[in-house]
Amino acid sequence: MRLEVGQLDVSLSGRQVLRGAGFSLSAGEVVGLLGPNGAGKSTLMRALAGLVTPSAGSMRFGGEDLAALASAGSMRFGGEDLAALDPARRARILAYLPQTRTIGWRLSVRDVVSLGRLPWRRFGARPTHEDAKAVEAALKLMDIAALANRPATELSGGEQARVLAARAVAQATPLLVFDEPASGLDPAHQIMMMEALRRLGTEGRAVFVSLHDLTLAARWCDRVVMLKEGRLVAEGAPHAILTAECLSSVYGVKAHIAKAAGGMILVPTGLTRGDTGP
Amino acid sequence: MIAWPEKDGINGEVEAEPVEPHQPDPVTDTGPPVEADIFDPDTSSGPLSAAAVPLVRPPVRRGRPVALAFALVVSVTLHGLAVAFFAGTAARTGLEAGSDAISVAIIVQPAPAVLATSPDAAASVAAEMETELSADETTAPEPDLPIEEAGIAADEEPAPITSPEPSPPEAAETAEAVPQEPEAMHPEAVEAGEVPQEESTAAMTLGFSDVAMETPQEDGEELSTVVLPRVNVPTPTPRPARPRQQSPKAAAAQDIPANASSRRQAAPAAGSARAANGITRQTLAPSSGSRGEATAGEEDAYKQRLFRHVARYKRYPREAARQGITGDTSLALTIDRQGRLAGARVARSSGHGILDEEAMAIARRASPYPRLPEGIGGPNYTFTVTLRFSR
Repeated sequence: MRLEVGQLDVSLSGRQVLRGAGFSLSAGEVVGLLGPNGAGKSTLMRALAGLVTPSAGSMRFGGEDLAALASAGSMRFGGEDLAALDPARRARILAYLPQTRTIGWRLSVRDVVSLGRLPWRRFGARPTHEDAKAVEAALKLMDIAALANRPATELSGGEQARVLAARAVAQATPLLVFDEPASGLDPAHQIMMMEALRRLGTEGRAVFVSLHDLTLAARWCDRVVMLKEGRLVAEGAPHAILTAECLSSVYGVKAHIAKAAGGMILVPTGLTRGDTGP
Repeated sequence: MIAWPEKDGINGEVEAEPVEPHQPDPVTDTGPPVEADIFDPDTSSGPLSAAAVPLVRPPVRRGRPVALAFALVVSVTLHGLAVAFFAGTAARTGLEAGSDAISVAIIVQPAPAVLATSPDAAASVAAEMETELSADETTAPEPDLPIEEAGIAADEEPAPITSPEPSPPEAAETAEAVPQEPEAMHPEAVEAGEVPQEESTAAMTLGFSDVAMETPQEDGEELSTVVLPRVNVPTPTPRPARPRQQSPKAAAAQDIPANASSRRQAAPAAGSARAANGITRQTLAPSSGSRGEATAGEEDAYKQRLFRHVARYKRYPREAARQGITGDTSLALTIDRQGRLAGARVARSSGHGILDEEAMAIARRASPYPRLPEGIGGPNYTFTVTLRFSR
C-alpha cells in the first residue's frame, strides 16, 4: 500500500493554497510534514481526508495518457483514488486527526475512542470482541487507559488530544493522517505520541504527521516533506533535509543544530534578517 | 430424500465399525449422500456423452456461411483497430517529436546558457563542468589548509578536502551565482574572485558539519552560531562583493598556475586570507585530517557522472510546455554511499510550482545514483544541480 500524491492543487475561496505539491508515502513509514504557518500543511491533510476538494486537472480525461492522468492532481493509496471515495470507504482506509480538537459530547473516554470503530460496524450492530480489543489497544497506546471511564469533556486539553488520537488509532486504518498531534502535549507525552506513531509504523501502517517541533521530526520521522507557500521544497531523510540553509530558506530562522545521543537536536535561535530566500 | 435409505445403509456400515465414536454427527452424515448423488449422473455419463457428440456436429456443418461472415467481421474489425492504432502512435510520436524541441538542460554554470541537447553543447557543458569543478577544487581544500597548517603539512595530503557534504553545493551555487561574467572562463580569475568569500563559507560549513558529526556540543554552539548566519551570505549577494575582493586577491593569484595542482600554492594565499579573517579551526584539525580523500580529478569525474546521470532522467512537463512556462530550478541533492537519494531540496526556485515539482520528481526518478567512490564524501554527499526548463 502506497500513498501517491501528485501535482495537487487546492484553492480555498479563490486563493491557491497548494500548487503542485506531490510526494509519496509507503506502508511502514512515518513521514513528517513540515513548513511554516500557512504553507498548506493542514490543507494538504484536509485534502487527503476529503474535506477540501483539489482543483487540479484530474478531471481531464480524453487525449491524455494514463500515466499523466494518474499523476495529475491525484491522491492514490493502494489503488484507491482518495479524491473519489465515499466517506465510509475512506474511513476504513484513512484516519484523520484534525488540528482543532474539541470533544462535544459528555461521553466517557472509552466511548469516544470506540466511535472510531463505527466505520467497521454494520448499522445497528453491537460492538464485537474485535472492536473492544482495538479500543483497549488504542487506549493503552495513547496512555489514557487510566482515564477510560472519565467523561472526556472533563479532561485537560492535552488529554483530550490523546483521546482523539486514540480514536483515530482505533479506526485500524492502513493510513494515518495526523495534523500536529504533538502540539499541546507535555514533553513526556510528545515523546509518547511519537513513539506510538513509530510503533504504528512498524505495524505496517503508513503514518503522515505534520509537526512544528523540528527535533521531534528529526528524531522520529523516517522522511520529511517540506512545504513552503503551497509548494514542495524539500523531501528526504531528516539529516539530509534539516540543514541550516534549508531552515533559513523555509522558515527564515537561524537554528542551532547538534548531534546528540539518539539523534539530532534542532533549536531555532533567531530570525534570519535580510534574507530573501530561494 | 432419495438419499435417506442410502445414508441408513452407510450408517449401518459405520456401526459395524467400532472405531467411530459418534455416528449421528450431521457433518459426516451429509457427506456420503452427496457423493451418492454425484455418482448417479456419473453412471449415466456414458449415454450422455454419446448423445452430445451428434449434437455438436450438425451446427458445424450448418455454420459455414455464418462462420465466413463472422470471420469477415473479425478481420474488418482487426484491420480497423490496427489502422487506428498505427494512426494513434504516429500522432503520438509526432507529439513527442514536437515536445523534444523543448529542452531540459542541466546547467553547471549558467552563464553561457548551454542546453545539453546537441553533442557539441554537451561537450561544452562538460568543459564548463571542468571549469566549475576547478573552482571547486580551489575552494574546497581551502578550508582545510589552515587546519593542515595547524596539524599536518599541506604537501603531505594531496587531497585533504574533508570537504563535507555541504561544501561542493555551495561552491557550485556561488559559481552559478557569479554568472554572466566573461572572466569566469579564466580559472585564475574565478579563483581570485571567489577565494575570499567561499573560503569562509566552506570553512564554516566544514566547521559546522564536523560539529554536527563529531565534536562535543560546547564547540558546536559557538561554531554553529558563528556559522549559520554567514552561510546565507553568498547566495543572495554574490555580485556586489566580487569586484571589491578581486583586486587584492588577483595580485596573489597572478603567480598561481591555472591547474588543479595549483592548490598547494594557493594554500599560503588562502592561509593568509584566513589569518586576516581571524578564523581558526585548530580544534577541528584532528577530526578533519583523519579522513582520507580521493584526488580532485576523481571527484570531478564522479561529479560529471552524477550530472550525466541526472540528465538522463530529465523531462519537460507537458503542462508547462502547454503554458509556455520556463525557468531554472536549482536542486541540492544528498545521496548516501550506495547512491540512494537521501534528500532533495529546492535550493533556488524557478518560481513555478510545476517546474519545481518536476525537478523534485527528476531527482526521485534518478535514484539510485552512481555509487560514491572510495574517498569521496562522508556518509553522505551533497551536490547542486540546476535544471533549466526552457524552449
